[in-house]
Amino acid sequence: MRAQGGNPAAQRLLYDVCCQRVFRTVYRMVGLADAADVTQEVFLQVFRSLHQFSGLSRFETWLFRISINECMQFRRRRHRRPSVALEHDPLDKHPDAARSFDHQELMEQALARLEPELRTVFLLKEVEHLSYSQIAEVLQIAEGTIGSRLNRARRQLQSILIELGWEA
Amino acid sequence: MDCATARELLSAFFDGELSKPSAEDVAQHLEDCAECRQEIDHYRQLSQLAAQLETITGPDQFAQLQETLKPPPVLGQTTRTRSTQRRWRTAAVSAMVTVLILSTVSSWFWYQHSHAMEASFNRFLGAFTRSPEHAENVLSEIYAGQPVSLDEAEKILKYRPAVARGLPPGYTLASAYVIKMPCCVCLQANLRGSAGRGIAVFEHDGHQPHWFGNRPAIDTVCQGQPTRLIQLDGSVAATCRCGQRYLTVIGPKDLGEVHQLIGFWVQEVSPPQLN
Repeated sequence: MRAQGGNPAAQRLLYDVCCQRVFRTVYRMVGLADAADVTQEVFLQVFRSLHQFSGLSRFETWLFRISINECMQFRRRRHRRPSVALEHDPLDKHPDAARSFDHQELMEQALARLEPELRTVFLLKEVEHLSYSQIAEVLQIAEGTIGSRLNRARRQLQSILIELGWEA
Repeated sequence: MDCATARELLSAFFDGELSKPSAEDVAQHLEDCAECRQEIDHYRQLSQLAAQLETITGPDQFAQLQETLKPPPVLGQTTRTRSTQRRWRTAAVSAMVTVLILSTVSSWFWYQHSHAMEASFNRFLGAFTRSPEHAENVLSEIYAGQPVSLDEAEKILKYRPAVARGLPPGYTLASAYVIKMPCCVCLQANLRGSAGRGIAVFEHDGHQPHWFGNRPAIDTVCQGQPTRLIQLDGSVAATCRCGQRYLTVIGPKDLGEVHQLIGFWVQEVSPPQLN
């Protein structure tokens, strides 16, 4: 197939429908500074391997699998670099300062501190509203482990939020 | 069920991913365990925070993407015949790819949209089964709904809701929310029936069958209106057209109560007053 060099209008439509959704996941996995580059890599992969996609109902999980894999590869490459870029600016830990953050910012900060594996499963559930079976398909792990991962993600996230000054 | 087992199942319970017997066991445990109830409450708050996360917009890099994807020029194929054949083949393949992508994208878009609504309603219906009163604001919290009086609802919705024109005898209004969901903007009116039993009434645009996922449903006729009945845990839901919009009633205990509620709005309110 020549999807990667195929009809530009169709590619444009696919890009328009999926781009922001991919970008917001990538942004929360690798940080703002690298989100655009990694999103571009995701779409190169998508268009180059579109012929491998089979089954309409799995397009979403296929797209997220490519996105998450690309993010994890990027994180590993970045980890090997001598200097590590911060995903988010450090937060002043003073409780009064923390209180002044609005909840959106507080949540972004907490997500950035959550372990990447737990962050992935939390984002796929709470932001992308995937079912457990879809998350299992994206991450290629057993469906039975999703609940316990989400338990850990939610408890860890709650601890981080409290540490940042969140009052449950 | 002991606390350790229940704690391991809390996320699956909260997300509506447990089988009915397991969900009932966890629900039973929650009634007796303040610690686990608090944990579920924290999950709910995290869910609300996640729903408030800003929608981040990335740059449009499609032009650069196209440049990168351009195939290198092919050398040595210069005759007109080959070139023409190649153009036709490319056009045919492009057309096929276009159809594939368009159908994929539209299917995916529809699937995503209906799946998100089903997940939200699963959460609402799960909470409703446990306690209709505590479920009143579940959807409102997910979609940043607005608590309103019925007069305020009329101003926002630009039509007079059916529940504002009257309630069936024996029912009172407990609360109302205008909720902008991805599928439609709707009014959720929470009623109290006999012995304080909760009933949720949604007035919305368009038929919304994906709210109830794969739950057993039958199509019937109620007061002359085609009506879909959906089986819930311990109650039923019914949805039918009422004027230019649809009414979905959640929580009637049996068909008699469906008939009473739907009948009231369809027969007594709709004909002379609804659009």
